[in-house]
Amino acid sequence: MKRILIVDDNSSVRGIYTRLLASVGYDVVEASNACDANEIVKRNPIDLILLDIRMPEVDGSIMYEVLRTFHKGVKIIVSSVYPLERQKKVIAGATDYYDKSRGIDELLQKVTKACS
Amino acid sequence: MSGTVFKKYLERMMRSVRFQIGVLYTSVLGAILLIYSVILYFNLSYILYREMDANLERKSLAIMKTVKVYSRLLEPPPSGEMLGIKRVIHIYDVERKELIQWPVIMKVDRAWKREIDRLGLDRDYIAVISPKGYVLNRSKNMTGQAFKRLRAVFREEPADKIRVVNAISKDLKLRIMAWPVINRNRVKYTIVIATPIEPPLFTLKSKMKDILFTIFIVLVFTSALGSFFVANIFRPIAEITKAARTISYKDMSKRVEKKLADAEIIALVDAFNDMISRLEKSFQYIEEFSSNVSHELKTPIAIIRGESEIALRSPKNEEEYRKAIGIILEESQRMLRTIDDLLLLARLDYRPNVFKFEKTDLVAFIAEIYEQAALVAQSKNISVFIDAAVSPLIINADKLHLRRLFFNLVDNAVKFTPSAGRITFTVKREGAKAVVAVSDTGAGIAEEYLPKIFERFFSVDRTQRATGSGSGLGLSIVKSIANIHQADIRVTSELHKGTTFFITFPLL
Repeated sequence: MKRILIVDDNSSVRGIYTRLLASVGYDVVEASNACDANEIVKRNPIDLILLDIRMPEVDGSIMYEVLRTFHKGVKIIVSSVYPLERQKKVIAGATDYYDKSRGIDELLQKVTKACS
Repeated sequence: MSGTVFKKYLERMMRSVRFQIGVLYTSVLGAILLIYSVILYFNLSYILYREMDANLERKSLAIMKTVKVYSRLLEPPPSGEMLGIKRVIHIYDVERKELIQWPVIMKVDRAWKREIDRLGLDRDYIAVISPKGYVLNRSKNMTGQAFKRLRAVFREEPADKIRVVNAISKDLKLRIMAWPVINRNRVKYTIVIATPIEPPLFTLKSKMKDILFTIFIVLVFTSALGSFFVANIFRPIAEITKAARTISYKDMSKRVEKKLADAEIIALVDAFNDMISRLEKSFQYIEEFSSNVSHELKTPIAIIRGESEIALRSPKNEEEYRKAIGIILEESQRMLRTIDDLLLLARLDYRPNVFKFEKTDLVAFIAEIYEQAALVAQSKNISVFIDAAVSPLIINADKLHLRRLFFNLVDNAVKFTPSAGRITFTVKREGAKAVVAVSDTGAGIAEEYLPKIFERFFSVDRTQRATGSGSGLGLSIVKSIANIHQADIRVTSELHKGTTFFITFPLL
């Protein structure tokens, strides 16, 4: 079973993704900020991270740099309400990019693709 | 067709500063040179004529003196005088044998010959005219043309004053001096000397043509040179124009270089570059602001869509549906608040005239706010105090929006103050101003964030916003409402101790 970490400061957003991904059989872990996320990644094997960009204190782009330096194997889908080209500009080279307003089917598709 | 094109080109050229400056300085320079040449010409010709007249005078005097000498030696006047005149005029012409050969007179002859050579009298026309106008004697060269001209000039009664005239015809240009010899208030006879106008004067006249041509050449040269300099001066302007054309919202990094430009142009270049910098900043602000707006509006939509899709994906129990609908409702309300806040901000910033101001007693007004704040704070077990002046403080206020200002501050105070904390209102007079302070014993704001708290969408802790009701626009609205009241807003804060907002209103 693949383990997915959701990093997002909005609890409603985390709630939706957790319910969706758990319902299709993923093991889901949540973090509301970059520091918590970092602790979780250090202690648990994580296959995929859904990473928000705009977060208080530590931004998603900084979090991404940290993850890429210390956890090279983990797949990361950048997940934000920013348009995709802006996401790619802020964080380059992620596994995939997801626009939060595009609906859960697209998210599911991208997660499945990244985990296969 | 080509005619109109040429006309247009000509019109454009004539409207260029370069052309106008060129015409201006060329004509000024031309006028100066021309006036200078004309003055020089007249001055020189005056000097030359004066010189010539002085010569004529010397000759006349020499003639008169010599006539006197001869007449004294020959015979007593008046016959001696006539003989003297004849000898003076005809010293070269008359046959040697006709002349009296006395040694004394021969001596005078030699002296007179030397004098004639010295004065250049041999080239002149000499005549002696009686008071009635008859020619008593004349030099041999004065025949035909010269004689006619002389007669024409002196046809009228000879005057008793020295006269000088020019007699100019195509092949004979003469300057004539008439010198009356007066004895006992009567003109005895008049000595007339006509001398060819000297070559320098004609040289001067022909030189004038050369001078005019030189002026023309100088003007052509200076206009070309000036055109080059003016073009040099205007080159930075051309560069500014070029830079202005390339600057667009896509690339505002371009600036005009100011190497080797003149002071005025440097000022222009600086002003231009500053304007671009300000525009660049504005564009950055707009970009950031619209990105924030879209983020704040898209997040609730993403949640509403996600919740709806999850709810529709598979059958749920009633509680799950209720929860989903609850979240959807909450998010749509948040969205509405954000939109309302943005519209209010737009009105506050761009249409301050739509607000209704009236005389308001700030003390009574804050007392009202205090009561409502106490009710709100009760739920979190926060106590609210008021310390207000006794006498009324009258200000000009839009009550509806001023209430909004203080509620936003109270909202923040309640949100960031732990239970058992305190919120205090202070209202007092400070000179011609009324100051309201709203202070809390809450979390405080780090010093580094203090300058930013009034910025749109700025939030020290965005987690609070995700769970709470704020959109990050609350304090921006506070600031804008203060602005339309001509009120100053200031904030002091200490981390973990509390924050105080001071709003200073002008009193009526």
